Amino acid sequence: MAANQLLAALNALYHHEDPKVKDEADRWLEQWQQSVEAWSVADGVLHDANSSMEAQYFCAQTLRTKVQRDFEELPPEAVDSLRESLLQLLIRFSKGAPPVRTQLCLGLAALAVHVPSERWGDSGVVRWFALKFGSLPPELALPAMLELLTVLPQEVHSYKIAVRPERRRAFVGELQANTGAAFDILTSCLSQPGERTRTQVLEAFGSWLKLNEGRPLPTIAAAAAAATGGGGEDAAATLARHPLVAASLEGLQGTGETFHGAVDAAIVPAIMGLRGRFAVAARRREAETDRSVAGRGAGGAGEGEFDDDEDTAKGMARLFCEVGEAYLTLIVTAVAEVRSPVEAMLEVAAYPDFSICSMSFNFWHRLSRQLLSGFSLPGPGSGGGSADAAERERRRQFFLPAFERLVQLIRGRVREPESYPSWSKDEKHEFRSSRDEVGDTLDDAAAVLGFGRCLSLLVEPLAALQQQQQQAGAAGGEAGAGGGYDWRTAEAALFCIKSIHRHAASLGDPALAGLLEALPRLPRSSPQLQATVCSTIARYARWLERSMQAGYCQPLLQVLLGLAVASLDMRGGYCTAAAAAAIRQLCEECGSFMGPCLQDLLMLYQKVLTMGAAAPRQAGGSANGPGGAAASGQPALLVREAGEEDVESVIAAVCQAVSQAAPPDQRQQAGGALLGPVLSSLRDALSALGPSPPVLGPVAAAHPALNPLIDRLAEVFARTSDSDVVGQMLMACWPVLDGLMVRCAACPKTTEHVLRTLRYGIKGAGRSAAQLLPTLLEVLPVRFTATRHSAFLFIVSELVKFFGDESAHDPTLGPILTGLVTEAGRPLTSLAALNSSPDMVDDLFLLGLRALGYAPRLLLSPPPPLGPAHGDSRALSTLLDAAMLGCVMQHREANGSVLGFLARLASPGTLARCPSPPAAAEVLRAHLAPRGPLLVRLLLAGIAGSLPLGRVGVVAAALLGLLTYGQGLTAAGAGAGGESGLGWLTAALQAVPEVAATSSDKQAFLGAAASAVQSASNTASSGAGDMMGNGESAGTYDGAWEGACQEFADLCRRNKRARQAAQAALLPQELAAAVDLGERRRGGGA
Amino acid sequence: MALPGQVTPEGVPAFKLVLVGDGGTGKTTFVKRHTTGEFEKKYEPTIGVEVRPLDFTTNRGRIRFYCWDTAGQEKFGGLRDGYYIHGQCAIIMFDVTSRLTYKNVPTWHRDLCRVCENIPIVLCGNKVDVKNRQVKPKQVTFHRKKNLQYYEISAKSNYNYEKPFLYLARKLTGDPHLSFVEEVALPPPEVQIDIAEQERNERELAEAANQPLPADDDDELID
Repeated sequence: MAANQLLAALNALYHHEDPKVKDEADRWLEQWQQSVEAWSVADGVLHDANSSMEAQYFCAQTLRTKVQRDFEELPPEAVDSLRESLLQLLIRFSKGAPPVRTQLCLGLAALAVHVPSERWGDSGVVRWFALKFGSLPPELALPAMLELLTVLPQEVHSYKIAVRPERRRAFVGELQANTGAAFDILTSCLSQPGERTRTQVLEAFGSWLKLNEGRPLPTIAAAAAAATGGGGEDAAATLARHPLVAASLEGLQGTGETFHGAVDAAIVPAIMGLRGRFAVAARRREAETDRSVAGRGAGGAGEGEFDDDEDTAKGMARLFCEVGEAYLTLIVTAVAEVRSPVEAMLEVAAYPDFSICSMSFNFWHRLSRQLLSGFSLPGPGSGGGSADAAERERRRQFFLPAFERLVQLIRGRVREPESYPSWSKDEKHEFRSSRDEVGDTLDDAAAVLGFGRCLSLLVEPLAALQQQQQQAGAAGGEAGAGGGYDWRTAEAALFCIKSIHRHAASLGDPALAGLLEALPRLPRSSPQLQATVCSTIARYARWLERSMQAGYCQPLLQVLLGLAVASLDMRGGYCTAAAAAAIRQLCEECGSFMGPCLQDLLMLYQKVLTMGAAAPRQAGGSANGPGGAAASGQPALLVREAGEEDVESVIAAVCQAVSQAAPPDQRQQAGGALLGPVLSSLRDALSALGPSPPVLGPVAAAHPALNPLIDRLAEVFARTSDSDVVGQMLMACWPVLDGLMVRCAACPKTTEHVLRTLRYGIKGAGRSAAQLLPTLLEVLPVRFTATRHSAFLFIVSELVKFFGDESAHDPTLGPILTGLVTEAGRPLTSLAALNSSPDMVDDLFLLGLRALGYAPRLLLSPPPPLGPAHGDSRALSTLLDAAMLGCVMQHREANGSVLGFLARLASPGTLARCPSPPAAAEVLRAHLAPRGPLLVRLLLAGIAGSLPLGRVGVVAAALLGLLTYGQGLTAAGAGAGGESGLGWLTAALQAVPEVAATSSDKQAFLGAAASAVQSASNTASSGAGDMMGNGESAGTYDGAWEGACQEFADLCRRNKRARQAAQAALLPQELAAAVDLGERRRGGGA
Repeated sequence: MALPGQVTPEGVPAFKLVLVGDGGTGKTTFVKRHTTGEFEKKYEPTIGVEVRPLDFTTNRGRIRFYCWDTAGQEKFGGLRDGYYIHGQCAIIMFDVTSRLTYKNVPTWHRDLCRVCENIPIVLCGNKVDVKNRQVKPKQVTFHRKKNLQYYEISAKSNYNYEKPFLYLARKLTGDPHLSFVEEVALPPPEVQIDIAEQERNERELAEAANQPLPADDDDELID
């Protein structure tokens, strides 16, 4: 009966078309899974030979889920029969549907985590299972046992198993002590036939390796000894005599034998035995590829994707990669034994199909990193001395041939195939991203080989090409004239060369300088080649600058800039983007050397301003109607190829070069010249919007050029480095910007562009914006009220940043801040209201954060008569009221800002930076202390489950801040009402019911809090640490406090019962309803 | 509803797609972008599962994915992997602005593979429109060894929106030349991400991985 209802619900969930019916079934099933009868019904379905796989899977998943999370509810005497029943089911499904078997294994693994080791017999959980399976025929025992051995170590850290943190930790140790047993079984499984078995053995090995990551043998031996109770016999000696260990040690003498070594002897040869087979597959594939290229023109990137042979090759390649990566710590020791896996990785890299070749890239990346970083010889007293350096160099030398070979194998893969133009967009995209992957790997190789060696390998194809060309030229062929020039090979070589630019360290390196000098002499017939020439220039701009600083290569700059500028409007526009990027990079890096180029740059500037968004629309090309072309009414004289991004790149480049290279006395004038045309087209665009009534709806639809023109101004502001110059620019632009704000108030998007530009202006001008400050402070609140665009709050936060420390501005800045904050906070009176405007919450609290950082007195000044005439604490009050809701809101960024604000508010540094700390402290006490108990409770609720687990660290910082603050009240005697941070926490903890945390759990947490508060107070009074309470790293606590919070979080979240009980106790009713809406909907209320 | 080889009543081949990943990575927003066109700034965690049909027109006819959009947050998880059975393809989503969501990808992948062996899976790094990116392209390596397809996407800007579906459709139909013929009816993007620009960014971002954040980053609060 119950089973029938279950099957009907399952059928509805999986197969019904109506989402409502599905949803109802979903809810019913979730309820059912939590019921007591689910144990027996699920068991019954699994024993019923006629049940469908779907039902079997769901019932196995149900049993697993129940073992994982409802185990605490079982009477202790039920454990044995549950274990026996699961085991019988597993045997039954050993050859059944794999997902069902997997779920049963996971159920047993969860049981192993819950049930302490003494109930698994003296020899441990692995042997217990082995014994149970021992009497079965291997075809039945093997799949179940191997799967169990795979999932046991995997489940060690599974948070789905509702177990107390200390039991989870204990289990890790218990299971590690079973490693020897697992090895024995896995080693014996290796002799069983079948590819599938071998793969599973490897997988199981992998999960035991991960469990013991990096642990040396003696530790495991000791653990084994501890687990078996010592027993007199030296357990380490027992383990050392293990044949696996003995075999691996023979090859590893003196190399700091790691745990990885122990399995090396058994497993690696088995996998390496596949190399021959892989080589055959690779040769066959190569032959096929040759044929298909010869046969048909287009060979798409996805060709042969579904070929079975390739799948097999992929499987072998994956095994090689598994070995390579699993044994990396061993491989890096550079002994003869590791040659085989490294050669296997080279064979993978040599495979014709890129999808297989690239599987090796992660290995090379990690090997390269390991070879170059953080190495020191084991043993005492080796403090990174010359012995370390020598050993590192020996290892590097050992791998040089492999990396050289790698470069040779992959450098050709970036060459564009002849059929490329006929490829689809996707195939092209795929090819381009594969080139980038090759580039990344070359970068890894260059790190090991050194720039010079790698460059010489990459130049080889280019040199060969040169030679060919010369020979052809000498023979009177036309290749020399450029007609048959193999630009693809040249392009590929340059692509590779630009990929290793990070390693160009030697200033003025003649090989590199020679290469760059030769760039203008390459044939310019191919735009693709020219684009790569440009991006090569861009990549080496930094090296060029440093070389010029050192007195080398100075003539090169003008040559390369000229080449990039000439490429800007090369036919087809193919290399416009690359050219613009090169110009930008050269100007950014080498700006101070640009003096001789300024005239050229200014001409370029004038030219590009008419391109991109400002380019006249082509007739019929745009459906935007009149007014579409923003500024100029010029006819389309030229085909404008440059995109707006490229125009912005060039604007940025020229502004940067001019402001760095122009003599100081000419900067103002030069800035004006740069601003003029940009501002005037923006002014024209503004008047094109028509007379005063505000534009409704998105402005960009009718005026597509408007937003890009606004962005150009942002570039000018952002890239002009002289703040006085930007200040003047800002003054000149303000009327236009404000006009846009008024005219486009109804369009959030354009408003956003305007505000972004204004922000860059203010950032660039800094204090030079002072002239405009009164105007800004008067106008911005009005505009905010009109638009309720949260970016206004951000702008004001910029003003606070620059002018907050000058108290002369307080009489204006203070009221504006209060007005904006209260206006923004006015509707934020429920969690639902906060949730529906996360942007506003985020920007409001960022403003609060900046105010606390730069001008805390503005938030913390008492109202008159005690405080100054402008004194007012309404802003603080508004922020704190919103924070009481925002600290449990789900939106990550908004919640982060709220918590950051609380942490900084409570930080002692904030008060210390007020002109009268005692007065500010009094304001803070009046507002924060009464809210302290509830805030602490809410933050504790956040830890206990109201917020996602990943946010516990941020909550921990805010909570510690509050606790330390509250504790300080007591110490200072200010806590007249008996407030104390730890008292708040004690009260909150008392509310948490036993089912979530026992009194000893609470005591432990309180103890951690007490010592964290202690050390935070000490740090604060000694003046060390980050007094600003900067950002998320607020506070001065060590990892112990965060660890304690994590532990408390794990405890309260370990199952639904615990979490809901904690939430119900900690959250006020109306918040609980809003926070756990989902669980309520499901009727799962505590 | 789609089981292996099944079709909708209208005769359209249909496949069950399982969408998983940490809470807040943008799974629902990604799917809603297709069904309703909205881009939602708000965050309302999904509870249990929401099943939505997603239709695409290809050069070989129509195709439907029944997308099982599952809860990312553990406490709203409902039946969790109880939803995965019969899954024929999957998308694992993480958020490039949150390292933790990438760190959890292997767990999602393992849970999926324990139920659905050998199904095509796409890994999606969402929110690439956000400046303050925490997971750089070069750090995303999980897909290589596990043989997944990886795409950087932005639900906000529609960047690469259709790529995951196209890849899955090709794998499921066994037709590498399948393509979507109509532009997927997406509303105009919230943020303009030019594809060429994004491609440029991808390289630059990769290189920026080891460099300090630019001075104009929004995050600096106190200089």
